[in-house]
Amino acid sequence: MNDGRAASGTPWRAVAPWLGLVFGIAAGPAGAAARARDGGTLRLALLPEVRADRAGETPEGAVVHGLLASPLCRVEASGRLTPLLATFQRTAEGLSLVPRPGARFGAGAPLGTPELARALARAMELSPVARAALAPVRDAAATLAQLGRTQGAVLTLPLAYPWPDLEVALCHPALTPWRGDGQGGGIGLYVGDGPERGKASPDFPEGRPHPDALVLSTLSRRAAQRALEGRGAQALLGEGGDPSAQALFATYLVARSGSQPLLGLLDSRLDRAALVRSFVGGPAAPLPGLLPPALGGPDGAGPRTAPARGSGTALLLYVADRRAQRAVAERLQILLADAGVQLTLSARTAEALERDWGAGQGDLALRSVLLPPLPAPALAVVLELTGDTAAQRRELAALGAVPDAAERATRARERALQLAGTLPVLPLHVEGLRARLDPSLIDVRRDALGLLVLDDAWWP
Amino acid sequence: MSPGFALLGALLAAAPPTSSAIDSVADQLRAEAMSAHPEPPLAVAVQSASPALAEALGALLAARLAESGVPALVLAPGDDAPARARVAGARSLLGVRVQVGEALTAAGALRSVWRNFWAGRTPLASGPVRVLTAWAPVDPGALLLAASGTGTESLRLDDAPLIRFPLRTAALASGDLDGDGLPELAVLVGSEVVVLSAAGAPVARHALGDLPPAAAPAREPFGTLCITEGRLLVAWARAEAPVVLQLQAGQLVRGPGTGGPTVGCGPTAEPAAFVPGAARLTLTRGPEREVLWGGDVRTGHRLLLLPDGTARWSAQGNEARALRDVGAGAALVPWRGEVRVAASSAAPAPAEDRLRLVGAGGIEPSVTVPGRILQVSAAPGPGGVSALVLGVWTADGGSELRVVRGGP
Repeated sequence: MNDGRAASGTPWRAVAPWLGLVFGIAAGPAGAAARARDGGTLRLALLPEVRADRAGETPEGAVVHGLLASPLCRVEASGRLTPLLATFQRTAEGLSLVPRPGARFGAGAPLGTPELARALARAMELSPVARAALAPVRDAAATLAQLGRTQGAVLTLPLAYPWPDLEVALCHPALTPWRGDGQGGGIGLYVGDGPERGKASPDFPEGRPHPDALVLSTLSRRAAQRALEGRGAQALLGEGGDPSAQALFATYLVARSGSQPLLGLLDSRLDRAALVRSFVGGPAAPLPGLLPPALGGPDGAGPRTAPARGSGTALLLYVADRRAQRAVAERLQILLADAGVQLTLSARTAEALERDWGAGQGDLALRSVLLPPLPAPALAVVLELTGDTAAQRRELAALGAVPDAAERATRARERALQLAGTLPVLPLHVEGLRARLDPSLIDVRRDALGLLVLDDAWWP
Repeated sequence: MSPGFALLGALLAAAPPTSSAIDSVADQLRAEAMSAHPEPPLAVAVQSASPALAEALGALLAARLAESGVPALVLAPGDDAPARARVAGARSLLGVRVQVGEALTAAGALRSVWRNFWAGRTPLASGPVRVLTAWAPVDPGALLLAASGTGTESLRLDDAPLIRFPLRTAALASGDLDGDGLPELAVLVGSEVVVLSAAGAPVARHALGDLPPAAAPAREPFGTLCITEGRLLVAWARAEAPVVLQLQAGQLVRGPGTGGPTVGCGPTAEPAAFVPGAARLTLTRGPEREVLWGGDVRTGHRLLLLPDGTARWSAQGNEARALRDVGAGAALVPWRGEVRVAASSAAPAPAEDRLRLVGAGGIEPSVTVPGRILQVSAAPGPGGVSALVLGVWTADGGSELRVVRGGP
C-alpha cells in the first residue's frame, strides 16, 4: 500500500481492520486452524545457565526437562490434577499409584511398579524436594527398596500419618520417573534424538505433542533474543517473565546447628529488597518468611534489629551454575565481613552440593528449591532443608491431621510464621520462571508451579 | 439488487442533499472518491450488518458517482470482491463498511483492481489505495434501514452458559435417550460422558477411564457421540474401542452392540475411523479417504469439514458447494423449514468465535460467541423455536455449553 495516509484525519490504524474485512486481506483458508495443526519443530532457545540445569531443578530447567521426561502428574493452575504417567487411588493404608498403560521409557521399557519405586528411591537420594514429598510415607527408603524388587499392578505407599496433600506433592518435577544414569531415561512427549533434539513420541499416554520434533539451542542472551524475534525459536528460557505469575523457586541459606548464630547476624544486616533488585533480577521478590507470598507467606520485612557483630570463619557452599546464587553468596560474604566473620565461598555443581552438604561439608549452604504449590507440602520442604527429621515428622503429622484443605493451608502458614526464627534456615528470595514466548504459540498455559506447559503448544 | 432497494436508493438520491444521514454519507464518500480520480469503470461494494442499509448506500453511491461522470456498478461485498470486480470489467473498487452506532459511519478504501500481467499467478495488489471515511448524525431513516433485514434472520446467544466444565469438550450430541419424547444432551468431556437435560442439569455420568487406551491416542479432546434408538454410541479418540451406553434408572450402563466413530448420526450416518494420534477422521465407506475435522449427514445432505478451513456441502444430489472459513464446529441443522449449515470460523484460537448460519440464500445471520466453538448440535427448543447447542472451549482450558437461538 503506497498511500497509507488517512483521509479526513482518520488514523490509519483505526481503519485498517475494516479494510481487512472489506477486501478480505487477512481472512482465508491459508490460516485456517480451528483445530491444532500437527507438524513443525518446536525450537527452544536456552541461555547457558538453563542448559546447565540438566536435572531440571530450576523453573526453566524443569520446563525443558519436562518435555523429555514427564512428571507423574500435573497440578493445573486451578488446582486440578492431570494424571500424566500414573493415576492415584486412596486406600485405607495410604496411596496407590497405578502406572498408565502406554507409559514407556525412551528405550521402550514400560513403566511398571518396580521401575516406579526405584525411580522414587533415586529421586529421594538426589533431591530434598523428593525427600520432603515422600516424608509422610512409612519408612520411605526401605519401603521403596522393597517395592523396587516386586512386580505388581499397583504401587501402594503406606503412610505414617495422614497426609492429604501427597498427590499434589508427587506431581513435582523432582519425582519425575527416570531410568538409568544416562540421558534419555525419562518418559517424555519427545524421545531424545541426540543431545539437543527430540522427536514426538506417538504413544505418550496423553497423546503425541503437535510438533513433530523438538530442538534445543544453547545461545547467548543476544543470540537467543534475536532467535525469538526472528522466529527462529518459539520460546526463550532464561530471560523475561511475568511478574504476576506464581513465583515458587525459593532460595534459603541453611546452616549447621553450630553456625545458626550466623543467620541472626545476616538477618540483622540483610536488605532483601535491595538483594533482589541488585543481585537477583526479575521476576523475583524478597522472601521474608519461610513460605513465599504466592503461598500466603509474608511479603513485607519484619522489624529490623540493630546490626549484630560476631567473629570467626565459615564456609559457604553454593551452586556454580546459578548466576543469582553466586551474586548472592558474594553479597553475603561482604555482609558477614562487615559483621566481623570471614566467609569463604565454595562453588559446586548442584549434584555435588547435595552430596557434600549431606556428607557434612560446609557451615552454610545456599539451597534453591522449587516449592510445591500448597503451603503444607512447601513447609515440608523447608523442614527437610534443616535436616531435622524428628521436627519434620512432628510438624507434618499435626498438619496432616487437619482434613479440610483450606484450614490445613492456614495452619501451615501459621506454623511457618512461628517456626521462622527457630529453624537453621534464613529465607532470602523467591523467583518466577524466566521465559519469553513467540506470541503466535497457541494453547500454552501455566501450571500451579508457575511453569509453562508446552505440551499442547501448536501454531497455525 | 431488489427493485424495492433500487427504488429506495433512487428516492434517497432524489432527496435534497442534506435531507438524510445516508445521503450525507454518500455525498462525502463521492467527494472523497472523486478527489482521488479513480480509474473507471468503478465497482462499489458496501458491507453492513444490515443488508438493507448496505444495498441502499450502494445504490445511492453508484447514482452519485454516475452524476459525477464515473459510472459505477454495485457488487456484493466479500473476500472475493476485487476478483469479481475484475471479472466484471472494473478497474477500481470502492469497498466500504457502514454501520449505525451513535452516528452513521462509513469507512473503506478505493483501490485499483488492475493486475499486472507480469506478476504471473501471484495475486499482487498494485496501484494506489485511498482511505475514505464519512459520517453523519444518525436519523430515523438510517435506523430503520439498519433494523430492517436483520429482524427475521438474526441469531441470539443466551447470556449464561448452559453448563461449564473444567476440561475441554470432545464431542456433543442431542437426542431422546430415555424415551420420554424430550431431547437430552450428551457431552464427552475429559474421560467422561455426561448426559444433561435440555435445561443443562446433569442426569447421569459415565467414566471411560477403564477403557483400553488407543495405541496412538489423540492429544486434543476428540470423539463422536450419537443418540439413536435410545442408545448412546460413544467413540473416543483416546480409547482403543467404542462403547454403547444406555440410560437405565438414571444410570448410564454399557449395553450390547458395537459402534465406532461416525459422520452424522442415525440411519444416514456414515462410518469413519480416527486418524491415529490426531483429532481427525476418515470415512471408511466409499472411495473418499480425505482427512476430516468431522462432518454431518442428514437425509439428502452431507457436510464434510476439511482441515484447510473449508467445508463441502452437497444437497439433494446437486453439485457440492464449497464453503469458506468453516471451523471444526459445524453441523447441518433443520432451520425454519430448510437444512442449513451452522458453522464456526476457521480462525486459529480466536478469543471470540463467530457462528454463522449458511443457507441457500446470500444472507448469513451470525452471532459472536466468546471462546472457540468446537461442537455444534441442533436441539429442538421450547415452543418449537430452533436452538443450537455449542461446545465452546474457553481461555482457561475448560469449556462450556452455550445456546444460540433464532431471533424473534
